[in-house]
Amino acid sequence: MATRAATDVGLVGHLMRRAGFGASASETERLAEIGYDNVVEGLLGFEQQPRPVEDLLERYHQDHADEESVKWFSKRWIYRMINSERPLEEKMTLMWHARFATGRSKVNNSPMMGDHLEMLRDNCLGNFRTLLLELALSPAMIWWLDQQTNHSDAVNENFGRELLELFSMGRGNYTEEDVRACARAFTGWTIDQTIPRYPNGWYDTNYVYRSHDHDPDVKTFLGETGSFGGEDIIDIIVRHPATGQFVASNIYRYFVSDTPNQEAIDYLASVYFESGHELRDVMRALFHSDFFKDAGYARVKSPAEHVVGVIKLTGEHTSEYEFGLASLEAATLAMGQELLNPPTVEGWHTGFEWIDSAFLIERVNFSADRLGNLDAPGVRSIIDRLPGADLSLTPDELIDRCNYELGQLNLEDRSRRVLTKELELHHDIPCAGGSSNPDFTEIAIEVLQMLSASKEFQFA
Amino acid sequence: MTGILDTPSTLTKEIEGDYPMLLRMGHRFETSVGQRLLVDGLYGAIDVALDRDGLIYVINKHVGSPSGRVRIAVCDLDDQFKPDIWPMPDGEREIMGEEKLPSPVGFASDGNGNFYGTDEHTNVVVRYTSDGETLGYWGESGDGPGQFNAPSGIHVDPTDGNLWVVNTRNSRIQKFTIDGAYVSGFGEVGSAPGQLDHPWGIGFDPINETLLVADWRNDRIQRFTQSGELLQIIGPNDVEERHLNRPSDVAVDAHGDIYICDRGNDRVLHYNPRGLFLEQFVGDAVMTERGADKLMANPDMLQWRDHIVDLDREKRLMKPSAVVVDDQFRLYVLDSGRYRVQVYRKTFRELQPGQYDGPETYTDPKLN
Repeated sequence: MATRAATDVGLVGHLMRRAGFGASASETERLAEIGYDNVVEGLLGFEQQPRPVEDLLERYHQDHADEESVKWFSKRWIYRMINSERPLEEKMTLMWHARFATGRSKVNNSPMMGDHLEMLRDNCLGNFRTLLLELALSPAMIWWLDQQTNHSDAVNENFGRELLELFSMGRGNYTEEDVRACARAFTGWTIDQTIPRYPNGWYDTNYVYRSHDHDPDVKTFLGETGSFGGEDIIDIIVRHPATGQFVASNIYRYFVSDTPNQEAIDYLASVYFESGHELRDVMRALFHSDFFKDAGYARVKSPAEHVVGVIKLTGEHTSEYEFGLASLEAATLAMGQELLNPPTVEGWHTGFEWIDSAFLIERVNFSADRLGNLDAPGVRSIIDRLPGADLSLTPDELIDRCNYELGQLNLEDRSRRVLTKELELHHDIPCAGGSSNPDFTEIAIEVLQMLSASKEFQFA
Repeated sequence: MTGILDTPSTLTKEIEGDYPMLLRMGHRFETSVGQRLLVDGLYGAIDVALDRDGLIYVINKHVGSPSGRVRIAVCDLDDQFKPDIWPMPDGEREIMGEEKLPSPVGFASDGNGNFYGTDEHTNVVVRYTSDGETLGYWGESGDGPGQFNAPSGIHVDPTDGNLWVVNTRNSRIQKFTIDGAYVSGFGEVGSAPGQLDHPWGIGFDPINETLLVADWRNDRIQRFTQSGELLQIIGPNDVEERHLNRPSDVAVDAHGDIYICDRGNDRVLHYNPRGLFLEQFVGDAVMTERGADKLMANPDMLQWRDHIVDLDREKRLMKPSAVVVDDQFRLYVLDSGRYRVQVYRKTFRELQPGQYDGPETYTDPKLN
């Protein structure tokens, strides 16, 4: 395993793409000076940083003030992904949102979806038992999986089944009898009927426990017997070996690679159990592992990662006064990921399934369009940094420097040949003046756009 | 100390003015108007103003509206809606997405058939007639005297017909003629007494001709003379139950009573001129006929509603944005989050000399 310098800009850039949504080259250089280990601790200890103050965002964008606007929480979430000083918090939340899928297509209540998102955020890096318990208490989840129709005299197994299959252990690790027992244990866990949408708009609702509707009888679940309630079931689940594998596998695929590595997953699972199911400890172990450090550009970016990553490069939407958040939300939708509205209870299919011809065109058009906007402060900053102390650059130097600014993509020879051919009419490219030099700016933007249209740019 | 010395107001100096002696008997809830129509109604409502004929004008921001554009909805107290008014700064209805006035905030009436609105995105003041004609707009971007950087609250000075305009992003309060000539201004950014942080709405005390500003991000209301001298602060030193949370607007009635739109707490607070808390409004709406029609058109929801155990929440305010009072002591609360206006009316008796044995002038006990 190659030893990586803690101040390696490429390594820190890799960390920021995985633990967050990327960073500009200048920001990555600044972080690299702090050192990789310190950056990791800063990411993990995100409670030391304040959450973004979004009162002005809500005030300025009146559609955000209107909770009936179905996109309101999605747009606000994208703003937070761009601007949060707690990038890992948003990244973990995005992971759990995909794993513990709930969506407005069925929930059809913005305040409930907003509360659900906040619950995920509050528990994203805590104890897995707490996360599962809060999930079971979430009104959006209760509605999503029909838990309000799970009665002691008429059991609905939907939530109980998904808790085992999709949220913790996975198929093959439990029986149909376990599903039944699990569902019975959660009878009585429900919500107050919420006020319908018309004519005043949506109202949120609360979890309630109805003891008269709970099945108190003895149940046998995963080999244990007792008059279990929902919390007892979660206690049994979180200490089951399959749950450790489930948590480790999800984290590995989300943060390391689309291709599983059983040895690495076993290691993360062992940390899960040794830590008493603490997700923060699992993530710390992950970030310090060689299999993470060596996994640069091994994952296809999700649409949200792609959109937010490009915007962080262009430096847009750092101000509440900027219009256009709706276009970012629309972009993720066009690329196949409608936030807060996953297609099924399984969430989104990831990896190369993010890429088809239509989605790829959307991704390329988005990044090329945004990186071609010289009015964007980040684009201007990139172009100003390209010349360095030089008065002119060779085509290869320009390609290398543009690539550095975009995060040191693993450019394959074929991609480089295409770029070189595009610049074959140029020998020495005058670059003095950076973005105030229109000829240089035109060429530089073309290279940035072509790099962003490359296959390599679709990875993180 | 408790009681009157536990005053909610930090009174920096005595509030002078010929305020009447009152027996305040409380507010009656009168009515609620609005709610959603099929495509329009009040949607993205941001400010409310009244005309001389008792009509209610509500300006709606374009972004949340199904119709997709800035729109002024007009209705009366009987919930009868008139045709919408569409801003037409260039004489034609604007193209969605290319509006010159995409982000209205403040809206004010001069009581003589003219309305003035601010647009915080394009830094202009727009003039309308009550008939829906857009007479024009003016404004220059910048932070200098007479320039705008996100203008928000606006109020017509009843003494001279000029306009007071709140500048959100540089925390200045400026006075203009209706044609846009700069008259005066004051204000600076900060949290110290007298400074402002992203102010929003503005009210005018007709008795002593002072200005009250919703100092939004400082969670307080500040009263100033027209030259900018600080007179009063309501907010941060209050007891916990009355801490303001991002107040968006303030209005003053003909008695000098103060109504604070405590937007972040979903309520309106009523204070006397000295800054003593009197009562709060959290909403008492009844469903409008229009709302009932909407519900009747959705029988599944009608049936669903029959199983609700707590309909009390339907009455309550959600994210109210603005308050305005009329000369009949009605209080209009723009209940933005619920697409309606809730209307209350003050009941009172004016006391004559001899009916009240208290001091003839207001004096803060803390200062004695």
